[in-house]
Amino acid sequence: MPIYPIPASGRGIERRAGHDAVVGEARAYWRQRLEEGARLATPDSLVNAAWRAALVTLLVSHERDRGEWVPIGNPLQYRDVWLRDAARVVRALAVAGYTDMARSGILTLRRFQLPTGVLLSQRGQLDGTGQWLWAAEQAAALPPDPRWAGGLLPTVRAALEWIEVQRSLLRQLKTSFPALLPYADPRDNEFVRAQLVGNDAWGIAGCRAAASLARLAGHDSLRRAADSAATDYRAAFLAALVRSTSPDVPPSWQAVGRDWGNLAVGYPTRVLPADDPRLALLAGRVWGRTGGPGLASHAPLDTLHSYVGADLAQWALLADRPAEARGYLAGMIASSSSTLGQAEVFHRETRSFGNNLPPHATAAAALVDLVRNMIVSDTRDTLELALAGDPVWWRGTRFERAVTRFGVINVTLESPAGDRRRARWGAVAVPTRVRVGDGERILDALTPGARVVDGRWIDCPPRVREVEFRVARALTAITPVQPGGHRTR
Amino acid sequence: MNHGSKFRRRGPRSWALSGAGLLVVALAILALLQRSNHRVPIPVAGPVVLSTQALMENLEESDRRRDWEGSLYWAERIGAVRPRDSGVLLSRGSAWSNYGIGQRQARAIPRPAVRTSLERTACQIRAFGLVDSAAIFARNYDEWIGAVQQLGRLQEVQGLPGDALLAFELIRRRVRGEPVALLRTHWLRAMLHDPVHPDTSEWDRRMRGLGLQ
Repeated sequence: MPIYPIPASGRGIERRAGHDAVVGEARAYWRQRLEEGARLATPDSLVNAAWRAALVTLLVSHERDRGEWVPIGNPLQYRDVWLRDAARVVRALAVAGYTDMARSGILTLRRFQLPTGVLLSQRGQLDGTGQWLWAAEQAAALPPDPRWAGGLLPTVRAALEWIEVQRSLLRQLKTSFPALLPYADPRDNEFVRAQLVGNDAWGIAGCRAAASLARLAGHDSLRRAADSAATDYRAAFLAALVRSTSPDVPPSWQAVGRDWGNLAVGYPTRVLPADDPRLALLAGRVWGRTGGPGLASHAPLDTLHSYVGADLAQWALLADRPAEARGYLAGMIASSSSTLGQAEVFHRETRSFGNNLPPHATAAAALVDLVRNMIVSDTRDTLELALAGDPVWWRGTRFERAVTRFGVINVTLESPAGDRRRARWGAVAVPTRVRVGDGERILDALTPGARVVDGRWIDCPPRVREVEFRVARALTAITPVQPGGHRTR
Repeated sequence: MNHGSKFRRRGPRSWALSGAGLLVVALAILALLQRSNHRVPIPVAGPVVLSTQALMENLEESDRRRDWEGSLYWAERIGAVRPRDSGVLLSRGSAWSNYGIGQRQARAIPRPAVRTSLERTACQIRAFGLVDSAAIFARNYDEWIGAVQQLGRLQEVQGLPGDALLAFELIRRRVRGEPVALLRTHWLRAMLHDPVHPDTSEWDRRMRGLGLQ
């Protein structure tokens, strides 16, 4: 029986409802949809399938309203919009090449702006303003579009003003943690009423994004104002960190609540640099609760969360600890459903997810962003390739139409001989650095102009499109990390 | 919204395109034209004209029953009659906020009238605009205070303590000794100082020590 009325009747319906035809149509539709984005192929077929499944999850987790796309939590029980999740979805769509959809999502999310300039999707979730600004910059810069960025500036300016008014208020009140955002009571995730560290991390990222958007759109006075706000805001953040009682990065400045937004301090907000010791301590504390790197527990400890720890995995990539990032990805895949969708939360032992049905759009977004950054990363001012450090991926990885802020490029990682590695990519205007796989060290660069650094990295000047180098087995063996120290199926 | 059949406009009827049907239509049009020419009043099938007092009573009754859909309906009807009345604008703002947030009885569990946070936000934006207009159209301090207090309350409902404090501070500065604004600013300042253990007496002592009270 068809769901929607069709003109056919009797055998006509049967013919229309033929299983093979339906399967064929679905396959053709999804092949075409996936062909619209970046194309990924690694030697690990499970990773490739998980990438495609994540993209499907992202695409189906949308509704249509007023001619724009609305990013929702998932197609089942989360048919609503959260800025916390939607910002990640926009980023994932942008890096995967679904530029129009990502930008449409940003236009939809702009409807969360209240007259004061704050962007708020749920009561008391004050990170929304920074998240929208950050996501808007992702959509505008991947790939760069000055005209589209210019259209966002009224929203950007109002959002920036709201952040600055709040910080100014707390400074005037001489609170214990001044020049930051006020306390929030999100009634979710952090589950506490306090000044949340994540709100400020996103606020700083938002100010930086406002500066980037203004720069892209050629609006210099707004860029200067946003830059100045970001610098002052970060100084207040660092001062608060020193004043806090935490040795790492606490969930709130009052040192209460559950870890959530504070996990974003290293990535994507990058308020602290990857080599800041507090981030290593934070990762150690969070991973220590579940026995090692991999999926983290949001609480209670007998459950695992599919994406709350993903920012730590991304930080691990930037901190040159790729085994931990690979462990996270392995953990995500190992705990996926049969169709490679991830439940938000599930039981550690039984893998049961109860009523919280997979797939979850934010988990899919986390997977897409992680896999992408493992191969090609534009997080810093240099194009970075093969950050995953997986020697297997050097046996033949192709990432076509990869969208970066430096341009849309094709990336290939390959091994032309047993002791040779070769990377190819589209020329960009910034330097490129390439990481060798774990367990190997670089003997010498075969491409003129390329420079070996620390036996693990090859630095290439701008405009270079290819590098080849010889490798040998590393002297110190690197122990592969099990997926999160958890039992795998 | 459906507020009972007596207020509902009649929907268009579908007529069979048979010869008899066409004849009926033609006769009906002719009859209407004749009535129009003779200035015979045509029965209005729209909302029954009620006095403002009756509308207000219906609004109060809906509020009392926490029937937020009903409240919004009556508030908007009053707004159509008195669009620049500060009190009416305030009522409309409150009605839109309650409609967006308040739950109503549904088949399984109580649910808000709107489905998504986008729809809820649209209601809140409307509420903020109306309450702000209520402050602008206020004819005296009482009306102005009522509107700005409501603005502060709406900010608190949204979990925006900084914006709420700014609203209540505005009253405190303009109308010295206004008790509600005094209490709310004191509480919000204490909360902003220490949201985990807001101790207003400790806050007071600290502020006096700094010469700020």
